[in-house]
Amino acid sequence: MESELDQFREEWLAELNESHAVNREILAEETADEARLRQAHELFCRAAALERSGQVTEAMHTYREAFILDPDVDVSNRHAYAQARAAAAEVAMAGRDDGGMPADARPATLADDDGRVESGCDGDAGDGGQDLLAHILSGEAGRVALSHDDADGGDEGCAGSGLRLGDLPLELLLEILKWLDVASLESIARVCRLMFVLSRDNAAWRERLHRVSKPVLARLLPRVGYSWRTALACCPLVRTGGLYICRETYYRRGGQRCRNGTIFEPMYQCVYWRYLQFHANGEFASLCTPEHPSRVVRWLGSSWTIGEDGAEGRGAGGRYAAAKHSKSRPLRTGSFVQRDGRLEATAQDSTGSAGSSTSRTAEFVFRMRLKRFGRPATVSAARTPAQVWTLNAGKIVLESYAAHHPSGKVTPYLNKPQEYHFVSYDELARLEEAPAPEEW
Amino acid sequence: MSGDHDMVKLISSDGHTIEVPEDIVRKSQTLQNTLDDLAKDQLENGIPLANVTHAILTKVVEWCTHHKDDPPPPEDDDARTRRTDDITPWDADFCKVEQTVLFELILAANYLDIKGLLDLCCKTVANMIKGKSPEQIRQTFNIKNDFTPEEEEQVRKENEWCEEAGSTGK
Repeated sequence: MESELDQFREEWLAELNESHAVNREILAEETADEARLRQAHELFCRAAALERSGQVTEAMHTYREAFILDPDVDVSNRHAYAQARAAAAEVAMAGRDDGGMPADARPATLADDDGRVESGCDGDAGDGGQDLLAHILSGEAGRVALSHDDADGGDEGCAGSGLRLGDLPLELLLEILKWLDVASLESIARVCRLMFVLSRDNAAWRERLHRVSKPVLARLLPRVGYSWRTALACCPLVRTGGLYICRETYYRRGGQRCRNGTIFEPMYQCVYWRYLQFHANGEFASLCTPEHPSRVVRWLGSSWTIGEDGAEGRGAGGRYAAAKHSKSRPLRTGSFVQRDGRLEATAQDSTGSAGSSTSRTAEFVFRMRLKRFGRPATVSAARTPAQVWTLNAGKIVLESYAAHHPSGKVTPYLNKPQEYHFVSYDELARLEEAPAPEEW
Repeated sequence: MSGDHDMVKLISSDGHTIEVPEDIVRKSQTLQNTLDDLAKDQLENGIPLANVTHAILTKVVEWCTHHKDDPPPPEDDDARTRRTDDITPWDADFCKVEQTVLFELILAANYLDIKGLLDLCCKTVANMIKGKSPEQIRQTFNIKNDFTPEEEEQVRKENEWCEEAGSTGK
């Protein structure tokens, strides 16, 4: 009896020890697991850094090592990435005073837009991640998907059970976004969460920066947290949503008059305007006329995109009308290229009527420098995004233009640079209602 | 030789078979690879296209037939400037279809790897988006706004830098 009990006790103890050993093993395995994950995380970060610095081959190797250690390393790193982005933003903020970079080169976070944003993203509060993109990507705000409103049948034949925009795979949605202009891209970002996330994808922005040279980009990108969207905002490019207007005056003698027995000679102040219009598709128009902006905007039209008037319309009617109306200098149309804050436009006189074969064709080349507008003078001003982001060349300085005649003769013009200021079509439309000029 | 091209049988997902001249089939990169990889006798039963319905396939063939003499599109995306207003009247007419069909065409063009058609359809959709306010875009495509009011306000602020956005109307 006694021995039986002893035997049982021994067996029990042995069993207990065994299970302890197993537990210890599991514990050891868990810490090994953690170490593995941490190593994977570190490798992933190193790979990302390598990729940024352009060492793609090394980066690929390091990425592979990271993924071998932890197949989900990219997912677990997403949150870390958001934090890194916020950190990069802070670095860019801190570094922007040390010259080189203009104050407006600020990443697209509202991290320092104190007070007002806190309510917006409670999800990431605490770790400085007020980045809306990170907030939405983190999934804390709910699923990111394009959902359709089924309640009200919708228009343009998308009712019913057929394929809808949200059914397209993401890469194809992105393919569509690549065709949008900046304004539409920003507009669609406000449609829903998925579109917002897609519209921030670098792929949608990269091509738009092909006009910026590589060395400039290489300097710019690290400072803006590798966001091509922010980089674009930092580069002076011409605006397309309005007219560049240059108001010029000169004095003219009026000839001798006689009134009440005294002879006098009046001086007239003559005002005329130069207009430049750019379109996203690379077209360009220039006009010099005594007509007020409120009238000119009607001739030039506010849009060259295909409207209801069909493919061949494209505002050409408006432009011919402008050519007909302009009294002194003809309307010139052509194309433009821009690179690193410089712009060169080639234009052709469209003097003769459309069918006339005798119309003189003289070619004009304009050289321009682009300047940003309303650059904030102080740091406090930089806190309001609206001021920081007054996007892109609000001012154009026309340095010279030269006419190439068919004979091959080149005549340079322009003694002093002309300054053009940007006025959006919205402002011009308001002008029409209340023509209060003189300031232009 | 040029007069009687070999015909290739294509079988749509709903079981219809259509015969298409080989040079037109070769507009599709996917099918071109298939043709190159398979022997003649393997093609006799036709190529099944699991993702394309008969109606869409007919449209795709119609487009390919009209564009059969086009030069291949340039390879490098960066070099060409993207413009959406250079759609020819024939193409514009071709794209005057219901949204559903347009999206199916995008899927088919992507699956068959026909770059020209994919670009055309994406441009058409992009033109439907251009110049519209967020609310108008939602209405056009029947998309639900899933932003919280706070998020919506924040997106609006982030996008303020581009004052042309949304406000231009046209």
